Amino acid sequence: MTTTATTSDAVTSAPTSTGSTATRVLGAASLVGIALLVVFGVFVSPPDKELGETIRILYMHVPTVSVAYLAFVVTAVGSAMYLWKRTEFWDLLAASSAEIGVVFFGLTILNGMLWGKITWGVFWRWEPRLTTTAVLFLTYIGYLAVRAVPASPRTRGTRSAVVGLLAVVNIPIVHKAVDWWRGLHQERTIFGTLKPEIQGTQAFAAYLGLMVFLLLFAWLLIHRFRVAFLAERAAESGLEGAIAERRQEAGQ
Amino acid sequence: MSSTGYIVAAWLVTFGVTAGYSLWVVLRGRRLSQEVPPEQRRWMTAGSRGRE
Amino acid sequence: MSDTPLGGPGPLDDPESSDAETPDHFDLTPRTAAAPSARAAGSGRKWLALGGVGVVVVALGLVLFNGLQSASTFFYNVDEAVAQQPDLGDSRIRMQGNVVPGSVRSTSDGVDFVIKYKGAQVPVRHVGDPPELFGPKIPVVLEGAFSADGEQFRSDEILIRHDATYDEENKDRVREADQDAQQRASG
Repeated sequence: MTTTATTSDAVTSAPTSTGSTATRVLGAASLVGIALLVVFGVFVSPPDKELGETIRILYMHVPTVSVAYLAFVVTAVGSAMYLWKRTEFWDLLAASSAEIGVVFFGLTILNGMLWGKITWGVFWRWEPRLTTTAVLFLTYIGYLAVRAVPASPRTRGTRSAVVGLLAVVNIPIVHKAVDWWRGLHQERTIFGTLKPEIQGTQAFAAYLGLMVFLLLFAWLLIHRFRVAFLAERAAESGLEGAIAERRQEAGQ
Repeated sequence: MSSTGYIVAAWLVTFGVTAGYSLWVVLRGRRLSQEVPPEQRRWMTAGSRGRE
Repeated sequence: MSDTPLGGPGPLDDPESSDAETPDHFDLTPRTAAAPSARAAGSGRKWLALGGVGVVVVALGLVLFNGLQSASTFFYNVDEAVAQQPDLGDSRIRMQGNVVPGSVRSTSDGVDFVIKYKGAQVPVRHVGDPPELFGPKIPVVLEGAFSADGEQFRSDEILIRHDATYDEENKDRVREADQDAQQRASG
């Protein structure tokens, strides 16, 4: 194995966590960004003339959904690459990204519901955008559930890669739902109609929010990938331990 | 004003859940690091670890 | 098993070659109790995980069924609802339109107003508190049903809808709202 070459280095500076210089830099930048976002998003930026104070929820809503979409696209790329290359890296990258995507997408739904309660008067209605959103969310929970089914890494990787590729088809459907069907949700705000009207500190808060959540995503993805990698190694040594135990029992 | 409560809740929920999830990932990484031999704790080179 | 720990116990690196060294009856049945890790786990975890997949699939089915039922025609515009009223009867629907300025009257248990879209108008009797942003010219989606004679729409939920027309009409809204408040006070 090529890993043998680095063995001695790895042992002398064996990491005791999933942190590294890269994650510490990203983590510090994220924290600074969050502090700035709170200052600008909550205090400095003025209320919107149409949305009023509720625009402050959109400073959370738009970045979380953007990063969730990005995470799901990373999962799709990882899934495709896994089916092609069959290497552990792509499988674990896809899985790590999917889990982070589910967290951020869940947050999008939660803060969207709070926004809906203020603006529409209700938390939820089965209108097109929200219905397709629920489908997307459940599909990726399904992806994580498929991964949780015990199987050999190759079987598990193949199954989840297929789900990961099918699931990503949902994103354009959710995105276009507001154009295809009539519903409560306003028109597309990302790559859509609302962006050009946003100006000044509102625009700054909006883009800052996006930057902060991108940094958080990068930080989380590195950590989560390393955790997934460690979990695989632990599962292997656990399996070996179990086999060794059985051999001992049989050979006593 | 009741809408202020919802706005504050949206921010608290978003950052609260993000912080909680981050903590869970980091602590899980620390715990698993103890279970794994030192030379296996990091993914090193892409593609070298083809699975069976 | 290409990733076995370096320097691990020799015979374990390759289970197939070491088979010869083990006795004939080497117990391979899964044991749930002492499962040290996920991959070596027994059937309990497997069924739990499969159950999870099942729950998600059922939930997806329910959402799709629910969604296709109501999302395909989430609402009728007022003109469509009026045109199709004979067919709709008194079944529960959603109807979208703009509140006609000056038509809003408070009642003992709610609010009466007229809703308009593309030339068609329908008087509405709403039971319940209207939402905070409710007012003249605001696009709303009403949940309710036509009265038996089809002359009136009885709603029990008003949803405020944000769309492009909202922006254009925004300038007049404060003035209209003032007028309306005066009418309400006098009426």
